[in-house]
Amino acid sequence: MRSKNNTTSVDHAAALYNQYIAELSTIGTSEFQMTPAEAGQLAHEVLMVSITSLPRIQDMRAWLTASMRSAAAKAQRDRAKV
Amino acid sequence: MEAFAHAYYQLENERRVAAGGEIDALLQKTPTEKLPELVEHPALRPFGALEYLGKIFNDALANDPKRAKAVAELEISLAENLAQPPYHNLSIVQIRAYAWRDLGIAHRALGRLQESLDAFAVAETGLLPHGALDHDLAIVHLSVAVTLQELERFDEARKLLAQSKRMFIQHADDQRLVLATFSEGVILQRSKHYREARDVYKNLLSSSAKIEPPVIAAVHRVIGLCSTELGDFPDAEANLRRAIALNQQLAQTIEVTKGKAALGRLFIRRGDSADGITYLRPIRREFLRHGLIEEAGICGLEIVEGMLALGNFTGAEMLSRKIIAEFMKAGLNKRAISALGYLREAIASSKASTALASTVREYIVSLRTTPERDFLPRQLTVSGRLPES
Repeated sequence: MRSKNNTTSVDHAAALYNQYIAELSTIGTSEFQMTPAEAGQLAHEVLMVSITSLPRIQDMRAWLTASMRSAAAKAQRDRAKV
Repeated sequence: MEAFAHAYYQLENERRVAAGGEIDALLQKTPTEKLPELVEHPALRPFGALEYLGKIFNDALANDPKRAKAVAELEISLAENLAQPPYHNLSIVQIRAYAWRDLGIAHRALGRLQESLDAFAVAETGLLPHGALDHDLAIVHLSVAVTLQELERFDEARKLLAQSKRMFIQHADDQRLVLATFSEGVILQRSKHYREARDVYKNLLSSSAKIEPPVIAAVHRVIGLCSTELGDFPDAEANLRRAIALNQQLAQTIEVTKGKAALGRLFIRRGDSADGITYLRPIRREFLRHGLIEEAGICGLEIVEGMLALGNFTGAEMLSRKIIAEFMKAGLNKRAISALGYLREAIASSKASTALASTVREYIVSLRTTPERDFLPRQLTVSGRLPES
């Protein structure tokens, strides 16, 4: 059983994820013509990396959106090569 | 979402445990040569522990670069063995890259600049294929630029800094944007564009960017150094005194001494040789007390220059002898010792000038980055002027 503090931590993580996943996915679909599934997967990847990047993040929203754009641009370049 | 929450929760726990004191105690009781054996230690296996080692690396770097290198090598070994779940594979790529970056920084601190670039290249190769890690790539490039600058490969360094700055702006990373801008100033300063360098530094201080106090102190010192070179002595003195005061507030003893050495140099440059000599003597002793023989020697050469300006050839010769003996005892670069010997002989035959002392000092400083560089005294006349071509 998780303690109250642990529950708070998990709740905070869930809130963080829910706060950004849709916005990041939209960047993928609207700016980089990705399918919703591709964009969702990439947005998830960026959010997962944000956990281990936290000590280097000063502005979470700016970091996430910039990382999503970098990741999507790279995916787009890779697609163009195929 | 569950994977995210699980990883977030686990890393938070691992970070708390890592900072709890066990790792600090373990590292403190382990001598440098035994550090590689810690690769099997269970306390160092988690991701959070590896992150914490990065902090230990930073602490070790300033005081003991050899130990810092051993910590970085331990980081690399641990990162290779890191179990992936619940972390994303990109997080593993990321932490491996930071371990290699730390090794590159340690090599640079030890003057092994090619090895530094080689280690950074491993970090870069891991990060390059992943757009989500572009911010980390920019951070690695910032480190690469510093090594390139040490190698006087200024154009490459400038190009990397420009790329990194774009990435830091996009990611709202003001702290590293400041560091990258500072590095651009250092490139200008090292290529003797003192006015442009000073403008970069002054713009940094007047910008709205939040700058950490140690960086503010460093910026004031480099402004002071540029202003000294430009002959703007009031500005140099104001900035050097500000840097010293800030370093004192931060309890950065060595930095305080380096700032005072720069202030003493200013006194000599502006012609206050007697004051400069009196001011620099205890600073030179302070460097020696900390075992910073090269810094003490460079400070000593400022004193020699002041003595020559006052016509005190006997004192200048005695001090150059002392510096040579200290360099020999410490096993420093033989080229530096030869250049010092050349200066001593010139002083003994009353043929040395302040310009020759300054040239030898600059040459010794340059050996930090180009240790194989030859001293070419034939280019100098004993008056210190370059012959007309």
